[in-house]
Amino acid sequence: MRQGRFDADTFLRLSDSSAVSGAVGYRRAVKNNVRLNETADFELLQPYVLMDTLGGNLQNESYFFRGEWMRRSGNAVYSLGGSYKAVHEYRSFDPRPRNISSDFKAGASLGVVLPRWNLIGFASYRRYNQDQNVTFVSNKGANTTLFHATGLGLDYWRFRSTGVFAATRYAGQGFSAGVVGSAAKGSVIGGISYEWLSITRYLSNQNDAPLTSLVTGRQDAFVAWKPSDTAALEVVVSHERRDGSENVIDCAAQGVYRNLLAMDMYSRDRLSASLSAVLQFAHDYGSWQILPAIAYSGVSEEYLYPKSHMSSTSVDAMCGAAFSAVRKAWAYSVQAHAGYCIFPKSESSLQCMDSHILQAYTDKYAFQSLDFAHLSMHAMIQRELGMQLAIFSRLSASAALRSSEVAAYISLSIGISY
Amino acid sequence: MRKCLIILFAFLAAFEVRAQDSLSVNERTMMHIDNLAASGNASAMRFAPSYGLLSPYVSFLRPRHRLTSGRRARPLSLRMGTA
Repeated sequence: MRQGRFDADTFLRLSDSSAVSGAVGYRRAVKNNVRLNETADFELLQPYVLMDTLGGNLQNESYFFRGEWMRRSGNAVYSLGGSYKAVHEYRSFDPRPRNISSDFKAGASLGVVLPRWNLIGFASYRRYNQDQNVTFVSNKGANTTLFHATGLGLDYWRFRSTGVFAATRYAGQGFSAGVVGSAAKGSVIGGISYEWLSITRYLSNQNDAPLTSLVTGRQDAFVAWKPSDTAALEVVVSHERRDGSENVIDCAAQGVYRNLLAMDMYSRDRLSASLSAVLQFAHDYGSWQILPAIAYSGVSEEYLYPKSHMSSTSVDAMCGAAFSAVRKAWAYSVQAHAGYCIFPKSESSLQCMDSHILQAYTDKYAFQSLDFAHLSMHAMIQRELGMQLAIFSRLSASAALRSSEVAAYISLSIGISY
Repeated sequence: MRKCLIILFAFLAAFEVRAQDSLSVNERTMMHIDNLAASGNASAMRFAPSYGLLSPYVSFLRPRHRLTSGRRARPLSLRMGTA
């Protein structure tokens, strides 16, 4: 993938008791050689995406806005905020998907602040939409079949087509709620949240026949403990459950597709947990930090009929070191990590009906369950131009070494801080 | 697009004036990328951004017990606490 992006993020105190935070982002990217997916926001919508066996580069453009206003009044703290993300994704050769998605969130929080502890409750509402259309312009790609994926390489056979059933629409809504707080004068910080999202997929050029529904429930929790001024420990746990149902639709004898039956066919559980620590050694010339961490991840995916499943667990151990210093108007920071990830358990049983897709999924799962080593490095240099303005440059690089394959990522940023 | 950028920079400039009483840019940046300061606070702010009002992690109130007036910043090690 190649990308250029602009990001701005801020947290500004308006007075002793109020503040605003906000972020804007714009990204222009080319996703190279995307296979078995033509739909934007794959991570959110999987497995219910449109796919073909041809693959290719996808052009991606996205905008993001977030804003929040917050205020403290006596022992109470409250806030209002919202965010919006729009994505435009397309391919310029056949089959030519064009996807436009919008993701809107609005939320509020209310909390209580006492001398030794505080607690904030929050809730938000989310609305998601995506319009997708696929066109064929050249004779060369006109016989490429489009598959409505239903999970683990399977697809909705009845609606395979070369364009007739290619126009789809996603519509969904959800909510999230949780609490976050600290105790012991900030030495212990913790939080827990639950998010629920339901997205239905429609055939928009077939009288909005509802194809599938995906319900995602997610729980997140964390606890951080600072036993001293030079050490910290944090545990983060996350669980996500996806349940997908497919609809049996009639033959539209009266001109309207009617939904006859909904069947729960797909499920996916993902549990991840991590334990990380920070140990700091401060000197006159700068500050060193040692960053050990260990992470566990377990994924289990099932399809009811034909019976297919995939599961894997991974354990990733890593250690990092960071150094930062300020010299007159200059600030420096360097951070490096190295780790090794093993897969103690990994198994799959796939029953795809299309041989190309079956092979692609088999290769994908075999590749993803290979142990790998990973390295990353971040360096930042900043020059103050006054008390309230500075320019910075940041270089990030990472690599994953898996068997004989190397996946590498490099990013160079320049910007201003104020 | 040009209008959006002008509005954005005007917004940044307007709030920069209000930020005169806070830390220098280098001090704030060091605090924001400090892994020790971020532990717990970064997660808390992802859950509820208003937690930032209660924590020096992004609120950037000058921690007088660590820095004396007029002195250049050293790398910061802040103990997180309620405001």
